[in-house]
Amino acid sequence: MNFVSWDRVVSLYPKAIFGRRAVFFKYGIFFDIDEAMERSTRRVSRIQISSPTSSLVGMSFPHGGRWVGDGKTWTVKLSTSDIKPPKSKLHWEPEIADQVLRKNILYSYSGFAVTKSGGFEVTYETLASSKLLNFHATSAFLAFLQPQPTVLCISDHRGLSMPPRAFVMHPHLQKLAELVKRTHCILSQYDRIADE
Amino acid sequence: MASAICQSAYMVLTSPPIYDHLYEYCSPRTLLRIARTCKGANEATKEYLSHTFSIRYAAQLRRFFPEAGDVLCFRQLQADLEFLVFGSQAQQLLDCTLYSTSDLNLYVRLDHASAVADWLMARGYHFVPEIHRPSRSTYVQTLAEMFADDYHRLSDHRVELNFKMHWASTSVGSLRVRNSWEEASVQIVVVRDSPLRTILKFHASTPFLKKCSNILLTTTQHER
Repeated sequence: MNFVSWDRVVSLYPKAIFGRRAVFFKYGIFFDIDEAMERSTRRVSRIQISSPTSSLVGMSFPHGGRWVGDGKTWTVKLSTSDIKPPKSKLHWEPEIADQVLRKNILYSYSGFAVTKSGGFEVTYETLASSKLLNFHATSAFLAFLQPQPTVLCISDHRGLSMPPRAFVMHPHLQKLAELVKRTHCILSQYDRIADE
Repeated sequence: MASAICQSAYMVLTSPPIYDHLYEYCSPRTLLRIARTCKGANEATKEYLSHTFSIRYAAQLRRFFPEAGDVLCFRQLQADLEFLVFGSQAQQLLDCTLYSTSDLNLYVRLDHASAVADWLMARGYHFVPEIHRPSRSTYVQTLAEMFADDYHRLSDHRVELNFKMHWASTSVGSLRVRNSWEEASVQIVVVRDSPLRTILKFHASTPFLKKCSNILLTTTQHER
């Protein structure tokens, strides 16, 4: 999430981009994970997908009140010595402080590994439990995230065997799936290939 | 006392040996960390980055506009029409990297799209029409269609105009001068709304978008 205006370069999530090498993929833009990977394979060796409310995302993509030019934004002004400024100057900063809080965390996650049969490792942070919705499940959420689960095979995680859990589409899970779908958000994190 | 320390830090961190030799080897992440140590360091890195990024941005744009003076013209056009450069060029600038085959993505408002397209055509670019839309063989036709039938759909759909140009490049190697053909691609993403709002709508999470939408709506009201 970076852009260049006439007088400045702005990075809305500098921690994510320069620290963790993470990038957003909005769920629904790509038909499936294959297409997302196809777009990223030139620069990535590992993709990690997680929900917008996980702690990992919270660190890289800070929640709460955000605006262009806030304390978490990285802004570098460009030299404009030979350029006439625009007639209407854009106001980047908001006038009223935001009150968006991290109250709406409905679920937590546990680690879960999935290996794609193409040489790339895809690691999911899979749904583990939700106190609010009162259920425990993993595979159903995985199936929800992955429109074509057949292209993936579930394998061991760090050498330890982890058998796939039974597919349970609990009514509460359905509700959660709809909620996640409504938020339209997914994070894909990657590490750079060392030789780049 | 604190301001004296900051002043000293600023003087040390902007001294020629550090400014000229040390920062060049620092990654953006390291520079960010230096900037967070104190006010003096923050000022010093800001100054360095502003200077370096201005030069680097000009160098990146020169790949798309090789004629002398065109880079400055482009930046003036960007100031006049307030469009945004988004995508890999912004990433490269911040990340101090260079992807040799990347294109230039411009988010331009609908009422300014024609002016930007004309400017590109005057620099030797040609329009690349979409294969599955024969009625849009020129960008003028494409924009006319957008203004007519598809205008109401623009708030939900981005419309892209692709331009390409080939130009002869000369590089001096260790033994001889090498001539080669370079291809440059510029994509104009035509948007009905504010370019920034469209970018956030396309890429950001709902809460952030909601927040930014409020800001940008406020901005629009100010402009009016």
